[in-house]
Amino acid sequence: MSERIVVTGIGAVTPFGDGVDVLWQSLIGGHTAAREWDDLRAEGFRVTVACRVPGHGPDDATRGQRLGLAAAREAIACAGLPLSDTIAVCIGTTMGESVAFEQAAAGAPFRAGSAAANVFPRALADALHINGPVRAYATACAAGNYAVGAGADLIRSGAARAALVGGVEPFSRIAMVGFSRARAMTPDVCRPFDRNRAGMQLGEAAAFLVLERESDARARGAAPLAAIRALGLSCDAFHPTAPRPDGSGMAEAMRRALHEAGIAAGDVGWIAAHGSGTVASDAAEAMAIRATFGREQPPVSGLKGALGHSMGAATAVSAIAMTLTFRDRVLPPTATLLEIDPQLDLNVIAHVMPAPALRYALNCGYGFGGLNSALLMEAA
Amino acid sequence: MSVHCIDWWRDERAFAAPAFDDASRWIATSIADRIRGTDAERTGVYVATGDAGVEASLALWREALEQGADFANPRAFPWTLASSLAGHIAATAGVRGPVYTLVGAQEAAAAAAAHAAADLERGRVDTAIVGGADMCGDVIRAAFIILRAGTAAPARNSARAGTGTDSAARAFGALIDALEAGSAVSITAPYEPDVTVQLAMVIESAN
Repeated sequence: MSERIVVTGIGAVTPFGDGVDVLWQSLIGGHTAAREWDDLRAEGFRVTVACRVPGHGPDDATRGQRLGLAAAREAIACAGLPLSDTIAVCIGTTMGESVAFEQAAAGAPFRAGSAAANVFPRALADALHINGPVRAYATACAAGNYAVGAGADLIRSGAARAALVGGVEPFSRIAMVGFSRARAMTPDVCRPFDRNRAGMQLGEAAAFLVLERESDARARGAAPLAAIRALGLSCDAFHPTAPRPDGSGMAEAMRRALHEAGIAAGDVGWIAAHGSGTVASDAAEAMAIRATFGREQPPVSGLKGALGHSMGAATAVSAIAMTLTFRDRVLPPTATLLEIDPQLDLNVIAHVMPAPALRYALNCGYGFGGLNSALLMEAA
Repeated sequence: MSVHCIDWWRDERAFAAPAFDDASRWIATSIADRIRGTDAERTGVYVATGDAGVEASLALWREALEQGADFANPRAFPWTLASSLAGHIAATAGVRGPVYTLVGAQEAAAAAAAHAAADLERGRVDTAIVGGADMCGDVIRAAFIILRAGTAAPARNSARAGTGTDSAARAFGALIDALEAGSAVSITAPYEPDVTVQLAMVIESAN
């Protein structure tokens, strides 16, 4: 087995506010950040409940870059990482700097390079004076996991000494229109795996992890918080927006992560599920979990009831929650869950749960185009 | 272990704007025709693009501004994502392995190729569809190569188009120039950083 790639720093800006502490306390407390927004109502949106980040200025064409920089700075400070030109920056996003597109559609000057996904890693690398490999992963709502896996691979291969990896997703009115008009959004509150779940809820977030070789981290006195073991990827090759109903593509991503790490399904102690809260996606994911884990199904949490769906940043936020879960040995609940859908036959947890022996956990995220990802993490 | 380029395709075509869906179908169909018979579970798609999703994003929001947020046609929404092209290639070709979209110009092209070569090297896939596409403007441009690990199948020629390195498609076009010149039919790929460098060198040498 190659040397472990460990997490030494984490940072997040989420609808609960700035920082991983408020994120974690809110998740453990079972809170939701969903609330009504007057501006969305005034603008004529059908759905006016969302999970948006408080503060950080207006919804303008650089908001995502500001959110990303705040989260990145927290992660780097947490790691105590000396910045250099051998640090990679890998960022996942779904919509990019969405407001830049919205302003261009209204007639403002437009340049793809200032709006598309690669604006985020370039802006962060410039602001932080990092000259290592810079990569933008536009892999829909699985993008955060892609970025984490890519950063770990860059370190393993020797292309980078450390990596700043994560996801950035500023609030997107284009996505609000798209999801709403596709009738994928709930007008109420997102309730993953609930019997009466009625759809997803749009979120906003930026989240970053600092990755290093374990020996490098320990050599400079940094304490590993968790480890990145393997990323499993697959594609449904089925439909532009809908998952395969049997969940076979999702299950394949889970199996690939387990296979690459060389561990058994029964070793996984927790799943941070995609749990979008739509009827079809949650049903497919439940089938995938049952197919992969059988009778050894671990506890499952869906964090989108608390945070909404921050698309390309969602799995990066979940990776931070996973890191904190390993630290504190407690599993965050599925906020907003009222009644578990018995047809799903999942071990969904509604309340915070101790996990003293937790060693491995799986972070799942899926996106349009049938993109499936499962990131296997390990306790430090 | 070596990574071999067994086939390539590039072309450019004018579409009536907005071309996001028709252009993606054209590219996806052209590529799918070239990988028939490969193991879908063991094939990956690695796309680099600077502007996939842009036309659809602008079109959807223009309609929202004109019709109201609650009345815009959602048909364009899946195409607003930069990953829509790669997803469409995968769906059309039946690919069920990793599907990547990296955003940018030449650096994204090199990164996409590096991901493909690394996945081949590590045994995650047997076949990799790797390329770039420029999806905005009057002319849609695409250039793709098909890589395989551990084989020595002869490469075949395909259509020619312009080259350059200011976009992902042009970067792969330049790589194809080198392939057609016979300078890089077989790509040695011991590990990712070497692959990145070597592909970049091939791209540079073709200009």
